[in-house]
Amino acid sequence: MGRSVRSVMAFVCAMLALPALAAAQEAVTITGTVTSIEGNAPLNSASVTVEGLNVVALTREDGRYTLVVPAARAHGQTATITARLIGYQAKSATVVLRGNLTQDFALASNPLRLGEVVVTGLGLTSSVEKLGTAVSTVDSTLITKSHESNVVEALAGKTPGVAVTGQSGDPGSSSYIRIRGIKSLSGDAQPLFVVDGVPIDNSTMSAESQLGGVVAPNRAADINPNDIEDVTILKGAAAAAVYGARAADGVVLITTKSGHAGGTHYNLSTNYSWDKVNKKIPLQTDFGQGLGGVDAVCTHPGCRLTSSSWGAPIAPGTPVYNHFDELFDTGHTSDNVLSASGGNEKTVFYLSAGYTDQRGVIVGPNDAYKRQTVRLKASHHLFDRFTVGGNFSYVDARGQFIQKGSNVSGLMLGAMRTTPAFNNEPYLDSVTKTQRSYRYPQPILFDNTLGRGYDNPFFVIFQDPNTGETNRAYGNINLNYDATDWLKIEYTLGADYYNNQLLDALAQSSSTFPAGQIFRTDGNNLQVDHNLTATLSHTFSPSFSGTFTLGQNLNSRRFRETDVNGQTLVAATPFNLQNTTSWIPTEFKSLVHSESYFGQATADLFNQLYLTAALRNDGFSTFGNSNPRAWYPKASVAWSFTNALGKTDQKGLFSYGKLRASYGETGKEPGVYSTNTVLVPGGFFGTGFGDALNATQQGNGGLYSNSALGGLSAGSGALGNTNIKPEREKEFEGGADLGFFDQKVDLALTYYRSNSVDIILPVPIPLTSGYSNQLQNGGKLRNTGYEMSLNIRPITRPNFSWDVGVNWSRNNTQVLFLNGATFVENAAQAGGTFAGAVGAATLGSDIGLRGEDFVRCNRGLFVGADSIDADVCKGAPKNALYIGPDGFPVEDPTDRVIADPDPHWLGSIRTGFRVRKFQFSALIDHKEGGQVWNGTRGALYNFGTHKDTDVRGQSFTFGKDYPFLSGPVVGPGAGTPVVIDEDWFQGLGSGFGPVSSQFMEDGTYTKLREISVAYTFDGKWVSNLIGLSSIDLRLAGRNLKTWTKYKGIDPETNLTGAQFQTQGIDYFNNPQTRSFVLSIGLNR
Amino acid sequence: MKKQLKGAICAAVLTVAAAGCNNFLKGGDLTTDPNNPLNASPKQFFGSVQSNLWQQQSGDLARLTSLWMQQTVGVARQMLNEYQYNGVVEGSFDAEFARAYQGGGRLDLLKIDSISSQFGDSLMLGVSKIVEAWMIGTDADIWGDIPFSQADSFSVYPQPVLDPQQTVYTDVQNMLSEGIADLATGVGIGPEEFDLVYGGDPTKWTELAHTLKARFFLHTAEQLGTPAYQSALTEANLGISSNDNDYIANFSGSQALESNPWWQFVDPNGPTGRSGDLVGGPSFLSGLMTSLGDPRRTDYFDIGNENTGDFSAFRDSPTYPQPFVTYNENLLIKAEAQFQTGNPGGALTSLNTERAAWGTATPWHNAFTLAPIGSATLNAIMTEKYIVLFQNIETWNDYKRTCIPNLTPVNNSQGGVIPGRLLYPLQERQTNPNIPLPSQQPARNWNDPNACT
Repeated sequence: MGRSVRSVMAFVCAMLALPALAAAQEAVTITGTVTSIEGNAPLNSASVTVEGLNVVALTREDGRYTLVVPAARAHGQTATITARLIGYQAKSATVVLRGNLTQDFALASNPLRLGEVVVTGLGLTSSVEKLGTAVSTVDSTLITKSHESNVVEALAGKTPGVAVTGQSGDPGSSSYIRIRGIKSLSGDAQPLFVVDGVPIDNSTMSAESQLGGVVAPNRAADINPNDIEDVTILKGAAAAAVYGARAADGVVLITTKSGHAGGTHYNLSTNYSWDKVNKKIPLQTDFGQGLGGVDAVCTHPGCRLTSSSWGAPIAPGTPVYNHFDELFDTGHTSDNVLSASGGNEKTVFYLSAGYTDQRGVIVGPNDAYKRQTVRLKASHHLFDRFTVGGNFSYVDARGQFIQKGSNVSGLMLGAMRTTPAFNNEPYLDSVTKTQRSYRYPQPILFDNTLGRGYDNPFFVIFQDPNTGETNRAYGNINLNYDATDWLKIEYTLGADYYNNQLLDALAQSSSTFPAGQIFRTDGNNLQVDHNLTATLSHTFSPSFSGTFTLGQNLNSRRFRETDVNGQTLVAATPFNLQNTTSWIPTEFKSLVHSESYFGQATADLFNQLYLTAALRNDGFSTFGNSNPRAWYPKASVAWSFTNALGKTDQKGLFSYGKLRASYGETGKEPGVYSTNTVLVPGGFFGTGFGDALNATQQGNGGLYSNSALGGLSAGSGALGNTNIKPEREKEFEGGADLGFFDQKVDLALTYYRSNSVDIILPVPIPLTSGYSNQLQNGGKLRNTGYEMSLNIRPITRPNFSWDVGVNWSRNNTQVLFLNGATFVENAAQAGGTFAGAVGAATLGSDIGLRGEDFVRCNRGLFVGADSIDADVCKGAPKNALYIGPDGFPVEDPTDRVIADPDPHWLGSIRTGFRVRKFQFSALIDHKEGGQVWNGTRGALYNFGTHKDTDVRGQSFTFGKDYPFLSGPVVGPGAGTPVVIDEDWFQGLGSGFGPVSSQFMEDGTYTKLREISVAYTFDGKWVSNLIGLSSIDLRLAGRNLKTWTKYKGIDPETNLTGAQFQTQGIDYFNNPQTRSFVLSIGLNR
Repeated sequence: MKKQLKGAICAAVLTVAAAGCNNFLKGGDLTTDPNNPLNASPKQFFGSVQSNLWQQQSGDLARLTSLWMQQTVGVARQMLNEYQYNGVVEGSFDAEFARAYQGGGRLDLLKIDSISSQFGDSLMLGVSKIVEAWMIGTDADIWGDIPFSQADSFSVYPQPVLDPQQTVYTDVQNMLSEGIADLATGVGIGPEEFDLVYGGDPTKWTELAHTLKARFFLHTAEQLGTPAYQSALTEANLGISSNDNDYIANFSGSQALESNPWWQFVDPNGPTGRSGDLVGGPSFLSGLMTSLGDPRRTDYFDIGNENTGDFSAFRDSPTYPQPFVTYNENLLIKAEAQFQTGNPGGALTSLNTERAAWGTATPWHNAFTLAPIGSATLNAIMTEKYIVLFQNIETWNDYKRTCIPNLTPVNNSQGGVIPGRLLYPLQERQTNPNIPLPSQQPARNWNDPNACT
């Protein structure tokens, strides 16, 4: 011990003496230019590093760089200088550090990014050519060019196998991401998000049910996309296995920008966009409010009128109103970012501040979202081989939202049902100053706590304040210790904390709660993550090297939410709790810990064969008294077979080839406390229509067993189970990465097959057992799929380049086992489902929407006592529609799968041109298939406001000329013309009728996602006149054009956003937008 | 030297990390749900059972009955479709079927029984058995053969068999008898103030149990004939003896979810947003009462008042005390039973006693002078009962047995008859192989072999 202390003292003294010794030398300045071999074009932002001294500089727009090695460190030694740039092969040169030097580099392009390092999670990295799994990286340019403020939405169309669905065009709405199909059946099935090595929360928190209420962001939207260096998506289980039981749905690794040694770079960029609704709901303007062709007339103040527009034709000259267009105008988004980055050989930093201000397309000031972010990322060489780093981000996000969806106080619901001749403006009666609506056109004095039936949309916009405020701080401290050449230790301690304050409020006279009410939600989330790894590496021989990593991960997630529903406003305002007369509070808190150990070994053989094997052991507290620990293995192999053939120059017709194969397992823990069987305090007994009775009546506290009956909190586990194993995703994947024509063409192909077994889900059990479901390892799913990406760079001249990229993927999900059930509703899993279009996993099928259809052939159906297949259907086409004697189709009361919201395939084409300093790029995104329930259309048929109901009173024949239900027909009434009128549209042809299959529509779309023209000014006048190095100017369009047959708003929509797994629901959803964006970037 | 330094650092980091690992995964809020209780007293269970019972008797099933019995009219959305017998499919009434079995139903009643037996609280046990019989009996009325003997016992019977409706009715009668016997001991505490109807009064509960017995005996009369009427008469004689002992739900109305579910549904100020979907409107009942000159029509309806769904302001109130089992019903059970057992004179007395009872106001009706009826025909008795049991599920049972009043189905979609039962819930069918496919389920229950034509 004594000897160690002396040794340390000696070491410290030596360190202190070092500067004095070196002071005798002169500083060395190295200058030069970095260009591309192809075309000799200067390369911007290439890094030039003096290896071993950690002196780095970046090239400017003209490709020039200046490196200064401080006198203290330059003593005439030989050093290696390396120039690197993503997309180019690194090149090194050896120099002697004395005097002033010039060193130019000409880099060969490296479109396959071979040799570049990618993060693979948990502090692990790999070189691209050594990866045995398909890993997609989306870099900062692509994210910035998308002009999306939500990083998840920015990933749309960028990489195969990843489907993104935006909730709506509302500022602050969520985006749902699905990687390679549905892997499990509980929760929101969103991947794990990791920022700079630390998991962050990406949940979607709302104050009310997402069927109604307001939109809510998925919390990854707190990240400023401009801060992102790249996003790496670990798609399959083999890639994600190092994250064990949190990675069942994949992992999204986000790396933020870092500073580089050299001069300080400043960037100020401003984007301004003009946003418009991209697609409308067609409404009729020909028939008035009423029933049976007779107009409803308000004869006295306080009268209530029918909700329907089945009245007489509107007399010519009567003013009619477009109840869609009047709600929207041009929205604006301004996005401003200021960043400074730089540093010296010891310390580098990146500092940014961002301010995004969105004003949505809904008229008025209450459709808005503002996000302010600051980020500081810095690292410092504390002493030789030891680096400390810190990374801190603070976000203040505030939104104002408009009530939406299945909600009689929702914007679209009341607006689209409004009869065409009713003017929704003004929304307050001129005399009584209270809400007027088409069902209650003449309010009487002092009736401001009386429901209006449906709310006037302008009342919804202007009178109901709904706000969300999020304050979030997240970041980490990391230590890097290169103990020896062969041992590297990394430690990261990260935290993610946010507070979310939500207020959903309904003003007095709101139809949902006429006395007025508020929902206050206060949510706090804290996640702390500790990750320690030690990596040993050794080169045994030129043809055999390897690494071995051991690591430990501890994670703690603490969540607390307090909700208070304050009912009955005393005065009209303010919307706070003391201004309400009764309160229903709900509190929820949870604590989850996990403790994991992992090891990974890699071996690189003969510069062509790369083997990786890893094993993780996870322990999770959520297993309760079950065994909390489980193992997750992975193994992969990558073989660069062109190297084996001796073709290492990457030239020629077939310039590169790699085969890869991998197997891995990930998992999923049960939901917190779901192993418990509990009683419910503060619950109620309801019917699903909203009427309910509290268990507590007149102050007598009632308690009851949690059976998940109607009205209970969704997803409650009901009958607990103390024998739960982790759910497991076992995935095999294989593929090839190929290069052709001197790497001008590259092609990546991947096939995968994953089995999700022991899926944890609340398995429905007989209702007569007393419970509705029991948490069991009760499900099995299989996903198989193909992914392809092809990039072609036909022209790579200095002044002209052109490239094209194509992505394509398809996935097929099959439900193989549900532990005795034939289907499991998503309702039992996580809520967010809808009567008539119930999200469910169905045995032998996939995860789709269930409901009812009309009687059709070849389904073994009976009409009365007749088996139709045995008689009328003989020889008829499959699924021919049965027409009853009266000429109409017939309801089939069998619940069945009626829609598949999952796309058949996804594809995108991206292209870019560059002519001198002009850059042009475009991204076209296609989703083939994927049905959407147009519940809006179904409901509007009932109310007679949909454009289609203009056919009322006309005679049609099903199977021949009835326009809204096609296909072959059979049956006694086939060919019989019938009059299509109110009876049909309010009965079997209505969205409120039992047959929802008729409103399932093909959600196929093709979108011009992104298009942009950019020009960079970097002439002398830029620096001479305004002292900048360059100015970037870009004009871009986002979702400018959507091609689809869908009859409602944009088929890229979902009522519950990213909060629930069930997708494909459109019920009075707010529309999507298209935007023009002008972007100016000032660089120095 | 350097190696030792490194070793020290590594060890320190690992020690710090590992120090936190003891009990890192178990205990406290990590293992036990801190948000919900695990235990409750019988009274607390009773409190929620009471709410659930009220919801069963005045929620979806009562609305459906009122639509099919044409006491009300469905004019929009799902109510329009229900009124026209559309959309009443497996899956529509899962929660209603489950209500009797689940939390707030038999599952918790069995917990009350277990704790009450353990502590010798016979009063609580008696009340619990009466409520269990009522709730399960209601399911048997609607669904016919239902799981009972193997229900609420998942670990032993994961897939309960269907007990024949007749057997369930026998079990219901036995539970009511046991409940009466338990109450007769007078031992224990009972639900006390948690019982918002009777305050735990054993006499009132005993009378209720007898009326319920009479009611359920009547439900077997179409099959069993005279003996069933005789049993019903015997029980009705011991049944609810005055309007003071009526079982009427007391809603405080202090907030939406302590308010009468009818009000919640039909009133523009109710929490459902369903105002205008179901109305008293031009219903068969309102027309019948007009044609009979029945003064009670003003107690029920206020046709043309859109702000109350055409219901009278008296009925359309968050605090309207919904009658579920009353002295009036008991007298009309008696009248029917007397009539069917060859005692028209007694039947007439019972019927006119019932009509005379309207002379005094009760919490659920105002005072009305009704002329005595001259002769007791079955039609007179059952028409009176159809009027008195407005909004009560029991009217469907009465109609199925007697076909009075003579209702015309609103359309022919059900083969020209009003449906006699509901399909078993979808979830029960897909999880319990003992439940037949919809196409193989009977159109009518055992107790109601004949449709009304």
